[in-house]
Amino acid sequence: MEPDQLRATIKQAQGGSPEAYRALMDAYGRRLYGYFYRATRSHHDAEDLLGETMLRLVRTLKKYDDRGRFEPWLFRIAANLVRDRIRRRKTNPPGVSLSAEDESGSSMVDMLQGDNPHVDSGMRADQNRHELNEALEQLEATTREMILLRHFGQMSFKEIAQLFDCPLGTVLARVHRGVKSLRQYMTDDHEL
Amino acid sequence: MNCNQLQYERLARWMDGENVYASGCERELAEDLRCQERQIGARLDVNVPAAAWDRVALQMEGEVARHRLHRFRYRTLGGIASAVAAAAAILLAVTMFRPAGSAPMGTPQPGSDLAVMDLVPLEALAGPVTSPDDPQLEQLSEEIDQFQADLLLDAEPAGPLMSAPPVGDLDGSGEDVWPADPFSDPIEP
Repeated sequence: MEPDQLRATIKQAQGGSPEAYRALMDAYGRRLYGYFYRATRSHHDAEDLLGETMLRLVRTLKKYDDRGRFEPWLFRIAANLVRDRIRRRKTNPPGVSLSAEDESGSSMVDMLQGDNPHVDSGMRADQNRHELNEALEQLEATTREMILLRHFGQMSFKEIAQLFDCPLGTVLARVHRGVKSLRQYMTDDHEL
Repeated sequence: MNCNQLQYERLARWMDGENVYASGCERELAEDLRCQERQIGARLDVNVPAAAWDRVALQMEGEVARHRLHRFRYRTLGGIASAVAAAAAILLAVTMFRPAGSAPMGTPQPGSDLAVMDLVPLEALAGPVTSPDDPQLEQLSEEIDQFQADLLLDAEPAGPLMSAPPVGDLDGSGEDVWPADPFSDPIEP
């Protein structure tokens, strides 16, 4: 979304326009979902967190001032939600759910019923995505989050440094090492 | 290339678009990092399941509607409260900040008949209305007397009593009915 258009949309949303909120969701929802999915490795959590983010957006957009960039502001909310979710998951590990959806959006129930056309055709693609998740899993949590925020949130090193409250050089060093090890892991073991 | 903390910081600034110096080696590292980020990023993207997307959109629209309703109620109640507060403030101001020297509580309110009475000095009411030798009033009094006298003279007879014969005439007619002295005429046996 162009800066002028974004500014106008935010202003309309602050005035309570449902269309403006829908436009913001269309513009950022998919990237937010991707960030949530890669951070939690769960479609269920990603949907839940996307819903929570949009609710917070509606409740707090009034406080947003136009001086800063909107994306870092939005992804800061998202990053805080991810941290809370991961922390909660560590203390409360989830059980296995038959209705939980996988990456293609189908659940174990669908597979058992045998009416999922994506089971065979999408298996290889799913395997690749699964490998990427595994590779991300190897990274230290903060490094992983920094890499995801660089990609999905399109945040600068400075904005990430502010979010994690660490020196600018440290962010670049972590991202550099993380991306390098991701490439290494995927090239060595799984042929990226 | 292995960088120290200072070099990483300078490189981060350079990659963020700040106007800082970066050596050729550092720029090469930055370009390598960008390339790797692009390659990884292309595989990070995820398709959002349509059902999940619709559910979130519905949830958000519900919240927007709730939020708008809340704001509407808040504004309406706020407006009513403001009007009541303004009325109370005006009443309070009128009660507390009346003009200096005005009557205390319980006396007639401004604008009432009793308040108008306050405007007329009591001495004016207690004093004589006219002086005895006021020529204009003398003249007016004479004109009124004259007018009353004219009224009496011009008055038309208005009924049977006014057209009746004088009292002296009635004496004569009475004699026709009654004997002048019933005992003066002897009664013949």
